[in-house]
Amino acid sequence: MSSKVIIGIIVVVVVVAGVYFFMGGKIGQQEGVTPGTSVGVGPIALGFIEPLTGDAASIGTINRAAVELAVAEVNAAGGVNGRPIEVIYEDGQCNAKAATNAASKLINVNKVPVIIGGLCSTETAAFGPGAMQAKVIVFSPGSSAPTLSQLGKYFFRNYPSDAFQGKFAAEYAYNTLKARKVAIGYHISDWGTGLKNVFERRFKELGGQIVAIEGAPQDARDYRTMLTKLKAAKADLIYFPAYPDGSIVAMGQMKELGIKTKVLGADAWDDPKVQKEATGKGDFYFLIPFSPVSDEFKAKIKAKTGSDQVPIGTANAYDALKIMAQVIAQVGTDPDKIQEAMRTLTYDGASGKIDFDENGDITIASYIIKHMENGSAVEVK
Amino acid sequence: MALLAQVAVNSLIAGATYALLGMGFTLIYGTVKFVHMTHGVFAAMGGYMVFYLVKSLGWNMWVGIAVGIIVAGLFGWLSEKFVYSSLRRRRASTLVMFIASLGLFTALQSFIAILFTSQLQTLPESPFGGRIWEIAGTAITSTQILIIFVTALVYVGLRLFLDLTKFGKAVKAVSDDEEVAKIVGINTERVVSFIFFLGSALAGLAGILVGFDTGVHPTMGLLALLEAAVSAIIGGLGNLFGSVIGGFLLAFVENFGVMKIANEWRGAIAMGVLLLFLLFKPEGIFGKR
Repeated sequence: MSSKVIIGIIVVVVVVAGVYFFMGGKIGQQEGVTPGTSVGVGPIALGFIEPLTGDAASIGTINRAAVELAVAEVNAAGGVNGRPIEVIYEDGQCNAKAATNAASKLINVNKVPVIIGGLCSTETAAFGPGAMQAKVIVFSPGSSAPTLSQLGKYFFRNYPSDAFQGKFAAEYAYNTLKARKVAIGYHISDWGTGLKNVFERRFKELGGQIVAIEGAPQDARDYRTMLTKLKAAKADLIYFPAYPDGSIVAMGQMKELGIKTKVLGADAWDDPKVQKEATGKGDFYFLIPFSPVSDEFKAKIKAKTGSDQVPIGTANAYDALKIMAQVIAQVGTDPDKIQEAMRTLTYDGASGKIDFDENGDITIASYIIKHMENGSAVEVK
Repeated sequence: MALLAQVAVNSLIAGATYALLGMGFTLIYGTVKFVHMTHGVFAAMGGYMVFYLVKSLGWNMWVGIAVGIIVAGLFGWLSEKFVYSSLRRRRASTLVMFIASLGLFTALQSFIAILFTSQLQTLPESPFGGRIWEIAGTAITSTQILIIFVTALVYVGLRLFLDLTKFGKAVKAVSDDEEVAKIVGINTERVVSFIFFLGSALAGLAGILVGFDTGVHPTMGLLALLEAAVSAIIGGLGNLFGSVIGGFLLAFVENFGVMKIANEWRGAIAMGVLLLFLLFKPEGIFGKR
């Protein structure tokens, strides 16, 4: 009796699940865009994956606002060939699992032709390969891990690879800050490990010495022994590519341990929260890609978010949406046609001049150095 | 030498936190004999109460701390009242209890994230300030001294309570054998409810202290739970002194381990220690076979 009931329940569940997925797929296709056509009815759905909660949410939520802004502008100007753009926002949480789930929903259920994101390299590295297989364009406005260049022909980013950033950081440390012995502390992730590797290689090439390397998971909250070791290595400079939340904790512990050396961080420190919490905790520098963000763009973001802050990736996320709208208007939503069109594109956007090389990497990258002072960051000339 | 001394201090700080978390955990485990996953989220809850009441609403610090501890305890008590006790009455297996507590853990953690976002939040300075003491080339803050002090105090307090009061003896009787305790006339329901309150309040206290030291974020509960569980297992589940020794042992092995090899191995060292114990001394240092 009871086994019959159980079998009955299993059958019902399987049938319901089957119908749901079958219909879900159908519905998704109707709502989304049939690949290869730019004519159709209804909105063009695009995907967006960035951390809306978690370790880098302070940046991701502002980037979402920038995309919302771009969508509103494109739609106000008549949309793409008369069809409005609709973006489906998903939370990548700056971690591989969440980003993969988000992407599989966007790809399989919403059938989007394009995903804008992720922000964290961890996100992009996780969902990128699946998206490449499904022939979905991945356009990242913030992921910088050098390894992403090998992702595939449907991958683009308008944010420079850390092959540039790590190299620039090493050169700045050696040439300008005159450091000869550097200790490195980093977050173990596609982004942090990538930066550490490039920095280490370039700094040694220049003739400098790496006296200690210590890594920690990005959710670690006890950096004391790792920092004790970095301090004991008696370096002239500590290079510390770490994500915002972990950095805030680590900065407090640097102060506790009496670390007085200059600390050079990476672009993730271009976050108002980090700069506020860093006050009085040490001598912090970081570098960010130079992007000539206009006052006009800043004003638009302020009107949208109510804050002066335009962190990394914001202008890039805005441009990414605008570029996709322009390209889809020209060639439709066929991923092969989009990727061809992207390679010949030159675009003058809010984040500067954009064109892509054969790996989908941006070709021009320059950086500026900022120093943290009294709760904000000032450019070092 | 300075390195060695500082790493020893770092181990003390971490060990005191692990021990405090482990004591509450082992108290509950000893009484109801299931791995109480929700323990970790009560730590986060205590920290967040102080964050909300003191930092956002501007309440008095001591009131905020007291409310934080009590709220964590109350939630522990409520989860026993509404979830575990009815499951126990139905003679649910420890696996079912474990899964129920895991569900509760996930739900409460998401609830905290919805209310306060998932980002790291810093608490105001602890009541004794953030002064950094430099002793013989090592650094320790007032907050960290407070953590060590509170852990010692909690251990002594619990020991006295369990050994000297009638209620404490009832707790021991229930943890030895709940059925027999019931037969001799102990109100076991009341004892278990109280232990849930006490254990969860201790988790809340630990969460507040950790919050003062490094800040709070919703997922801190999982880390706290892992630290508590590993400390308690190493020391011998259900043994109060064991969880204290286990906590310090874990912290010293972790910190001195990464002093010798790279910090990347920290997690592997902690889990390695746990594995060794599970393989060769599964009952823990002070556990009964």
